[in-house]
Amino acid sequence: MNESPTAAPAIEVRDLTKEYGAVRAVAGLSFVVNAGEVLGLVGPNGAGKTTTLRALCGIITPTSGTIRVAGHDLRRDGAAAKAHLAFIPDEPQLFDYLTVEEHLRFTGRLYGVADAPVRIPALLAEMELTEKRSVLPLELSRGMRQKLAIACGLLHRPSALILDEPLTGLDPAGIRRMRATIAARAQEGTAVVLSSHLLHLVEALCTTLLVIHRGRAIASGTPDQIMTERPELAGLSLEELFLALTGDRPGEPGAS
Amino acid sequence: MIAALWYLIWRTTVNRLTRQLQRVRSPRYAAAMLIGVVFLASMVWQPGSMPERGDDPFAPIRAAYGWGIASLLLLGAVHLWFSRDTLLALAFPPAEVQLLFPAPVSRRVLIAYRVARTQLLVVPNAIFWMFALRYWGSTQPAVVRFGAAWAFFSFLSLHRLGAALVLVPPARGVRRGVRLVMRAVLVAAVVGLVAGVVPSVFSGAHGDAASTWRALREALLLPPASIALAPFQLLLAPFFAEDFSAAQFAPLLLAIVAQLLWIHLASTVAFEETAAHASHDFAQRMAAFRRGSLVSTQNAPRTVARGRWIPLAPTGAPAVAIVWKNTMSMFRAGVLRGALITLVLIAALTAVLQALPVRGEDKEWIVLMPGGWMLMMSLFLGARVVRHDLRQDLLSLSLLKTYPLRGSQIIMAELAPPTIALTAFQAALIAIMLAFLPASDRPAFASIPLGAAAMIAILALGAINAMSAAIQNAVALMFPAWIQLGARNPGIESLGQSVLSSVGVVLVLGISFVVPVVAGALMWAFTQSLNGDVSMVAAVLAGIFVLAAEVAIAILPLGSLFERTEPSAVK
Repeated sequence: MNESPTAAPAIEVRDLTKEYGAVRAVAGLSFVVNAGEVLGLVGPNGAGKTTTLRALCGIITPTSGTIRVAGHDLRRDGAAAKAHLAFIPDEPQLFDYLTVEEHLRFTGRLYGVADAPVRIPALLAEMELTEKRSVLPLELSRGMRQKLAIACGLLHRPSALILDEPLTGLDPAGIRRMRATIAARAQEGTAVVLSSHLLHLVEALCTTLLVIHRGRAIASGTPDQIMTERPELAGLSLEELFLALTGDRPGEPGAS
Repeated sequence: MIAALWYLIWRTTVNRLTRQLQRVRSPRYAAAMLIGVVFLASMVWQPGSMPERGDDPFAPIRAAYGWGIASLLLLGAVHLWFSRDTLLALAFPPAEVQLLFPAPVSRRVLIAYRVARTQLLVVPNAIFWMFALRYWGSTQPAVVRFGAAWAFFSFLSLHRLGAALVLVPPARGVRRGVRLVMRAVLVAAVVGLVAGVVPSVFSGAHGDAASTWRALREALLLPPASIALAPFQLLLAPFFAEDFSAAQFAPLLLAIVAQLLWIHLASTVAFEETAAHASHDFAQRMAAFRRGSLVSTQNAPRTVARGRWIPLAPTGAPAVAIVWKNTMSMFRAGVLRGALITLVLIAALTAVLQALPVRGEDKEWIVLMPGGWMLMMSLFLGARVVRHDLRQDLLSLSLLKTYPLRGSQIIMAELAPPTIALTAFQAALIAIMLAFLPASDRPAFASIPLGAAAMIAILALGAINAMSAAIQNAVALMFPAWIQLGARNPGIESLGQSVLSSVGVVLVLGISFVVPVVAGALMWAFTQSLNGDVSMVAAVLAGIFVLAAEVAIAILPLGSLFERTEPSAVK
């Protein structure tokens, strides 16, 4: 699935806007994520991160704007675009009556993964779920459920991996392993969009940042680029940079 | 503290109703609400149809079927006092377990709160029955109908709660004694009922259905059966009262007072742990119900699933994966087990009826009755019960929408499992009926072989099941918020919505038959010159084809609606 039909960016978002009645959750957001890049989507609660990620995956329909995944327009050619995507939400959604292994078999068929019988045991081992392969999700801990959701997302080798708070519920060892997994996938050429409040994770994994606040992009680029463009922020740590940009420090740039 | 509990009841009720009303801002919800109001109004105002006093059409129902309802209440009481399910009466919502159990609230206050909150369900149900009884021809004044229904449901809920407090483990002292006495009395009542009915039916029947029926009724009106059912007849008495007469209302009202007194005395028992377990179990059952399961996951014998029931190739049509998933879900939720048990019971009942000392033409109908009844039930209610389609998957809408499938493909895949399962069940029912019917009594279709007639019937059933499933899924997609709330919080809106959605589904199903019937009639007219049976077969097949085509056509807009539906609409 990694092969894109064209040399188009893995993810291309233009003027994405999403309104809920009078509330504008996302306003004119544009960005591009190329193969191998890891974009960190950060912002305070209610900034529009999850809305953006859900729009990227076709879960919600944008009010306006275009989203292209591996060159396919998500609105016009949704099935083809989604074939290149994987979305891993913060709250894993699993089917109660499919076992761990059956979830992967099911996902394999959905995405036509011909080598699923080979990849499934490998993914189960990578996620430390081999012993739980015949267990129904009700018996899994929160962390294991998250690992299963991640395994399902990785099975078809997506061109674009969308992660919304992917480390929620994982233990410290799991977090370390997951960081390595995400980094490995990016090195293999997968475009990753990662939303997280864990700024040390963002700092460690992401090649670029997109800071959004009240649905609008207020900064983008690497931390160095952002600080170069905004000299008043020079020398700040990522956490201080985030707080300054989103206005949680009185008198700072993003303060409302 | 009591003020805080009243505040909780008041605010949650108001907020919930407000949220329901806010949905009416959406045109489709507004239209549904309007239809519902018109339907309810039609129940209340029926010009010229109000029967005269003294000409109570409900009276024959009392005379003929009162014993039947009383027998069901007896069976319900047996289940109540012998089943651990009764402890579910102590279930509190998770938030209340988390916030109220550790709070400085006495057990008595907690139980009193539980009793008060139950009235939020009892009163709306009584209002519904006030309308429903009028619709079905009761001549009672509205206030008496309401009073009868309120007293009846109040007693049932209080008795269930009282029984739960008795059954809280470990049962010691007085509670143990009450449990023993209640169980002994109920066993004696069942023995009395059976002992009174069975010999009388076999001795009073004269080989025809009418005499068997008469013997059964007479046996129920005489001791010991009448004594066994007497307490339950008292519960029903207010439904036949002309006014609030003491004779018909007093026993039930006294029973309610006694029940309240018992609950007050018994509410000092340490029920918290049982209640917490019951709350957890109840939440799981509700979740299982929403998923379309007939059994609670709590009762599932194992959490490690047995082997792969159905193989799934890694490549091929992706939509097949959803069919596979829902079929697996159906099996593991106990639908197959439930269907097999039902088929065995129907077969056994059919065999017993075949052995009854009844002769003549009645025999054929008596033998066909259980299977035929179940066939009709499954045809009209099956798609409502087998919910392994969008009604469970809408809860995972976010996940479903990330799949590389068009909306119409997902809809088609969702409709297939319930349609196939119901049709297979109905085919098995037809087979049972044919197997137990003596060869001489089997229906003849002139030149059409019986096997071919059965195949055509199964095709027709399949098309009707597909249409029923399509309508149920369309309702779920169009009104997802109402469907979900209905499963979680059985209250007035869910009851009203349930009735309204049932009426709506039957209406739409009826409308969907218009074009197929016309197509069948046209085919019949055009093929009149052929053999009569061939003409009939052609007409039926044309009707089936058109009905199936309607389902196929409906899938496209449903797919489009699925693509437009956002997860926020489901919550």
